[in-house]
Amino acid sequence: MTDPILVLLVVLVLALLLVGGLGAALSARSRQAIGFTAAGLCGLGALLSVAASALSTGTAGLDLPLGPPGLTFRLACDPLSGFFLLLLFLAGAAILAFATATQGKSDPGTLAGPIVGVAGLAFALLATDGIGLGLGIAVASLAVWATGGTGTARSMQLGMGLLAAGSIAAAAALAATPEAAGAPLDGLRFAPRGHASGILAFLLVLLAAGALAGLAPMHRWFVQAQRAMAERATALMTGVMAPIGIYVLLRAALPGPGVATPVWWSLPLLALGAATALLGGWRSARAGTLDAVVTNLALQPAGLAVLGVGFVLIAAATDLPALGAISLAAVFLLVAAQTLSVTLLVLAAGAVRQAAGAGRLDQLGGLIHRMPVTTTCIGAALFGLLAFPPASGFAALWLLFHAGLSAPRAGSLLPQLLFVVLVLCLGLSSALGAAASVRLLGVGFLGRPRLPRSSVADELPRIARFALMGLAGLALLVGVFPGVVLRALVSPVVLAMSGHDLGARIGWMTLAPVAGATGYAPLPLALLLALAAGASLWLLRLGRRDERLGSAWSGGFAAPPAWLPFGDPLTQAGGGGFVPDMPRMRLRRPAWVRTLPRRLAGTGPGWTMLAITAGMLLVAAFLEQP
Amino acid sequence: MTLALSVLAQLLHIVLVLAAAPLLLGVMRWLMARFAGRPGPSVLTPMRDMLRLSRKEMVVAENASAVTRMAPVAACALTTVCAWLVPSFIHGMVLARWADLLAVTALLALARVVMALAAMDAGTARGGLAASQRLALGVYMEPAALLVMFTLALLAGSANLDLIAWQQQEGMLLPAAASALGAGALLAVGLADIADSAVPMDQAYGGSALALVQATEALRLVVWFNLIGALFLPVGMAQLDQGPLGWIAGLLVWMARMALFAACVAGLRAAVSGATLRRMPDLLGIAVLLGAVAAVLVLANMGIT
Repeated sequence: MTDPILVLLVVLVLALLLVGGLGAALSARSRQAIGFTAAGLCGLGALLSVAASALSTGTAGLDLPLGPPGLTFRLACDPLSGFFLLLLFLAGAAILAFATATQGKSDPGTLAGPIVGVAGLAFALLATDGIGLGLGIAVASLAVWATGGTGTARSMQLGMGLLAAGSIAAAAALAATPEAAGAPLDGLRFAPRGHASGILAFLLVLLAAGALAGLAPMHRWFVQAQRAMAERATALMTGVMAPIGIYVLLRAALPGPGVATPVWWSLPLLALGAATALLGGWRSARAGTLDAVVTNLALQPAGLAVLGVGFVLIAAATDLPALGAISLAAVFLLVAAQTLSVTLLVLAAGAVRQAAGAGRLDQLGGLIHRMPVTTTCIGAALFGLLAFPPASGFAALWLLFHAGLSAPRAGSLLPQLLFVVLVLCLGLSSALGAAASVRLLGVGFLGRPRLPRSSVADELPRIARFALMGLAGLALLVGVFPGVVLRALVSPVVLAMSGHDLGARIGWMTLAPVAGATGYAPLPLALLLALAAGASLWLLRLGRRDERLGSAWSGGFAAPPAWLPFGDPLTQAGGGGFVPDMPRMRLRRPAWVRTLPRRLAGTGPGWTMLAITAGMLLVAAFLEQP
Repeated sequence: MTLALSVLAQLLHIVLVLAAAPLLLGVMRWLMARFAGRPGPSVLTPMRDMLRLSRKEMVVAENASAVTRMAPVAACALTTVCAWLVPSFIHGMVLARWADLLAVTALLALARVVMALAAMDAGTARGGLAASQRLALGVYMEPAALLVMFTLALLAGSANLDLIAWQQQEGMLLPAAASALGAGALLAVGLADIADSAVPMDQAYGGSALALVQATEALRLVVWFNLIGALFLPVGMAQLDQGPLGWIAGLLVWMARMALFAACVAGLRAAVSGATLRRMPDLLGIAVLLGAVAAVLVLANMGIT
């Protein structure tokens, strides 16, 4: 029997495609109607996805006759796709509403790109085979590419998207006939076979996830690809496509229950995840532009999520279902934090760049006075990513830390030492993230304006503010109620993937390492904080309350001359020194490695070649399918 | 009955900790002056200073935003919650079940982050410098602290502060050498956290707000002393059911412990003159190493048995 929710979801994807097509065809006047219709459809999709994750069993599929005769795409929706669909539609609704509200009359771009992008990604999440998954990602990449931006960056983005799509298709071709019993979506599990083609498929899946989420060796390209693109496209890439990289890993690289993979399969994931999280934080705390700070910061949750998937693989190999369950919970929290917070950050960063007329961090400043709502939302999103209670980033760190505590059971001393290094990386990455976030807020939004333009920046239009506030509110809610989110949306997934019930460890209010034990309780902590804040405020009010405005004490330096109304810009901290200096490493990559992405992407034939490659892989995959 | 006792213990703890904060600061300053050969101020001076400041009008920088006004309240709230959660003289307080080691240290770090933001709000050079120095130091502090917590949680099988303190008191956290190494590492982290800086972060404040900031700093000192004491030296901590005499004994031992820590830190600061923020990276590098060795020691020990 076909699942009615699935049918509705498929109809919704088709409707989005239709609206996107209309958006491309119609004149600029109807743009607003198109944009808000699509945002509304996305909101509807979010509701449907909640229903899908709560109710759907994922056993029923739907055949969609598309493409050449005799070929059908089989679609299905289980709680795992439901969770990612929910995040996709939430972020998509915010992106579309934001883009519609902020788009100026002079902006020639249409909203067709992001709308079709959301539809493509939704199709990818519903697909039951590698072809459909790859096709959805390819369509989304093309749609983002068509949204506009500067030449090199958008070609690089397209190249990475097609690389991911091609790798998935190739992995599917290698895995050929994974007609395992059970749910139709099990057909996406390419890797977990011991023999050579399984290992190759695993590496291809890793490549695809790396290209989507910007994992370590590809993080530079990932950040470069975001440069100078329209923020609605970038938000779709960093906020939504990167989590789909994690989805691909969860779907394709994890063994089913009862299938054992060797422990060393987790090593590349652990190494890549830790390296990505560290590099993201490090580069974010040193980056010069607003966009680079945000995009690098987005690498952190992605890296930590991959680290979590590595833990899940260890759990599968060493038969520790509890470890797998809490690692999976951490992965889901990180993915949610990334989708909500990073989407907000990217959207807001683009809008601030427009409003303040500068993209460099040391040319902004003082924006909190002109854009208070935007600044508050950015602060909330940064808090959601950071490892401070009661934020979702902290809940995820807490779960990963406790997953690491299972170290003594993971065999000999050598793998155990690995866990010590990972704990070190967790600490470093959370400190780097904090430094980067304070630097972003403090230099870019607090203090005095550094250029006259940013002293007259205007706040965003109302609907755009609502979109940001919605994302910020959701990000904070996930932090305070991680148990509720996990139990309501992903507990069947965790049970199916790890064979361990989440309910024993993750209560509605507390996360606990062992059933019934004490643990981390975000809601009581938040209430205690509110109580203490009330008491502190009362204490402050007890003293003398009148205040006088005076010029800030700047260590005895004289007031700036009259021709510098904002003070001397050079006397403000410009964002240096937030992370300790490291000895410069003499590690030069050969020239051809450094210029490879630009050479591939910079010229027209370059990405055409990539597209041809991807197409060939698709054809190969078609031929392999029975 | 147990619930009533645990609530009573919690309330007593809160009152004691809040009262101890300005006194401890006074004692530390007096001791430091004595070690340096000066007569030293009265131990009540910090409290008098705060009262005097609270009667002055607040001077707010022209360019300050809501961040400057809210930050002292937020930092005070965060530190206060830590002070409530970290046990002092007794086990089994009513909030003990939420006293997660990771959460407490993260709340302390968050208070720092909030004050760093406030330091950047006025747009002065020194404020930005102070904030960046503190956060750069955090890059060393966080891994060291997390490694110590990892070691303790491995040993105790839980990251709950009260549980770890109880097991430490009963001598159940073996090998003890790992605890000793961890204590060294966490001591270095605490010293770095309370180290004086040449450019303080509270320069933008005056009046009542400055009084609140100073009170928060004093409370922070108490939290660190209590945290290190509970984790590594929980000698003589009372149980809920030990009756009034047991509680009083616990209280006295706690006061003695605080005095001991104050004397040690003051002596250390007097001996290593200029234990300022700039010297801290070296110390914290050693702390990271100690934490890693402690964790490896525990893992190796577990592998053998």
